[in-house]
Amino acid sequence: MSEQSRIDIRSVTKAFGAVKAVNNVDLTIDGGSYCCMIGPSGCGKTTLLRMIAGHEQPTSGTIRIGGEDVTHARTGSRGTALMFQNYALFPHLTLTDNVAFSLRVKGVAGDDRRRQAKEMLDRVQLGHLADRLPSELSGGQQQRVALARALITNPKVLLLDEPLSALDEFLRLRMRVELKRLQNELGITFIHVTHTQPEAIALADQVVVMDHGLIEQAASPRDIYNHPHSPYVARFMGGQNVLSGTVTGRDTEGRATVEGSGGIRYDVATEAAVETGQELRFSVRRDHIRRAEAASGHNSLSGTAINIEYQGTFVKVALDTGLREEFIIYMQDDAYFARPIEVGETVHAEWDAAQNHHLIGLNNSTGNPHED
Amino acid sequence: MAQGQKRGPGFYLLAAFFTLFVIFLYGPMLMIFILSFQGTTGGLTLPMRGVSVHWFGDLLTSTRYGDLGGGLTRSILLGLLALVLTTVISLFAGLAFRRRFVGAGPLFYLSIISLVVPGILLGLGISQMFQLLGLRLSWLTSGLVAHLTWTLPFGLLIMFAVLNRFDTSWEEAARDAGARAWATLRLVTIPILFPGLIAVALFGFTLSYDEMPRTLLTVGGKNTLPIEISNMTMTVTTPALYAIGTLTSALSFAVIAISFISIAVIQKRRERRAED
Repeated sequence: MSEQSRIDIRSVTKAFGAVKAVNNVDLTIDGGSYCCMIGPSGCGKTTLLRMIAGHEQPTSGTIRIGGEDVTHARTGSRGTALMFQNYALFPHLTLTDNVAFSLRVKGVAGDDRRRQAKEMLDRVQLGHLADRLPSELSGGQQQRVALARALITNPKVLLLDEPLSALDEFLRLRMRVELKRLQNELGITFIHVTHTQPEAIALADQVVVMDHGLIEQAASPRDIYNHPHSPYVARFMGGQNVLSGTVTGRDTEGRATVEGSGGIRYDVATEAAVETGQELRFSVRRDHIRRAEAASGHNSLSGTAINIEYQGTFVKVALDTGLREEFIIYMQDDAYFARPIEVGETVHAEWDAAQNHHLIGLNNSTGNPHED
Repeated sequence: MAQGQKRGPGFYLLAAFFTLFVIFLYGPMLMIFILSFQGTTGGLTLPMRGVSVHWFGDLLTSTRYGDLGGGLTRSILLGLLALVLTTVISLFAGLAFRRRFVGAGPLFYLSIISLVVPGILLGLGISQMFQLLGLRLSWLTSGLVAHLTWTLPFGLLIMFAVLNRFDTSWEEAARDAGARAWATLRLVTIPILFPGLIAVALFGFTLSYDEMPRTLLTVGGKNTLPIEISNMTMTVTTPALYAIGTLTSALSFAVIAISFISIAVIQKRRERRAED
């Protein structure tokens, strides 16, 4: 299965007039993996998904599924099935007939296709509603029908366009588990478009972060979270502070010495060649920052507390450090409540040099991080 | 209106206005309906001299009233032809206009403009064109063309309104399931649009059935019903005139009733299928 459902996207561009929704994208998605495409609206993730499904034709480039060039193959004949964002269930057909639709088109006899559709509905726990119309169902149930209708075609690749966005929080978490379980069970490739970071992190084997028609980074969730490629990825995925400074030299361990605002010195292990005098950006995970008694001037930052939010397992403290972006610390709740902070109070923060992560990529846009 | 709340003068003013509106709308029709049952010695105006169905019988048996039966047959045939053509052409034109093809704007205005042009002029133009081409005027050819200039723009406009609520992802879902263009149209697009298509069909028939200005100069030797009736008003001076009014109104209501019933039956059938 794994080789059959592998996807190779090579130099794919989709232009709508002068606008390039997808700009010369290369991407390999392993067969049988769960891939999440994430980015702000208009970043090209949905267009890329629709090109894989065949609902859009690439302006240039090739798309292969299981090694077979499907760039111009007819939709519905390339082994993909798309689950639409609004589900797009046929309002005039019962659930059985909705699910059996692709079999009907293939010319499967009435009784046979209804039996298969019924089995598929049972599989998504909706067998008892087989003769209802879609309008009589709740949102969560409609989604299961859409899933059943997509799966009955025996796809090599299941494409999901923001499948959880229309559900309430409780259902969303339940369906998330369900999708992951289903993918494990079927062993086919899932490509899931979303704009919600926790969803991507929780589900994916491979996260593809996009912006302005380009892939910023495609890697495992752990890599994306611990080693973001650019300031944009760090900000968009959340949980990070992005800082910058000027390279002044190298220390004995080969790390770049970076001087930030206020003359504070940071030691940043570099992942690419840097020159003295150049500007360098790096990120620090918000949950790896401690509170210090005094400003040390070394791998540290001081600021005024402007907002404090209790989050249950940790406390989110936002500091105004005089920079454009707020500096945020996630403090363990016991550490925080041992000595609570008041809004307006000056707070000194520090962290280990190993927490400084060099951001190689140049995309410095802010995205629109969904804070949680 | 919430209980206990006092109705202001505005309410009574508007109520009076609405009553007047209803009287003006249905009063004349009611008058014709009543007068068509005039007694055998009665005339064109009130008072009623007894009640009878004499004038209906007179209408059907007497030869003084021209070719009413033929006019009715022609009008119904023409209406049905206009119904079919308007529905089919409006459907495909409406689907085509969803794509912003080159010249879509001008083409749309060109097809709507025949609603604005005075009908009698349009009829004159069509008859001139037919004569120029050496074709004979006839209700089935030039008459049908004239009717389509009236029914098609309406059909197209209704189709736009219907398609406004049509989600193209239904068609994409059909394609995604492997359906080709024809299967998508037959199994998804047309069934979902069906109630709207009934509306287009109804308009196509009724607009054609009582069309007159465009028909006058294009109908050729044999008249449609509205022209026959119009001629009658100038020659006939008996309540038979009202009898024909009552009959044709009844026919129109019957057409509407049949359509509503068929829509209801179709929906019932769908629900029933959904239940068992």
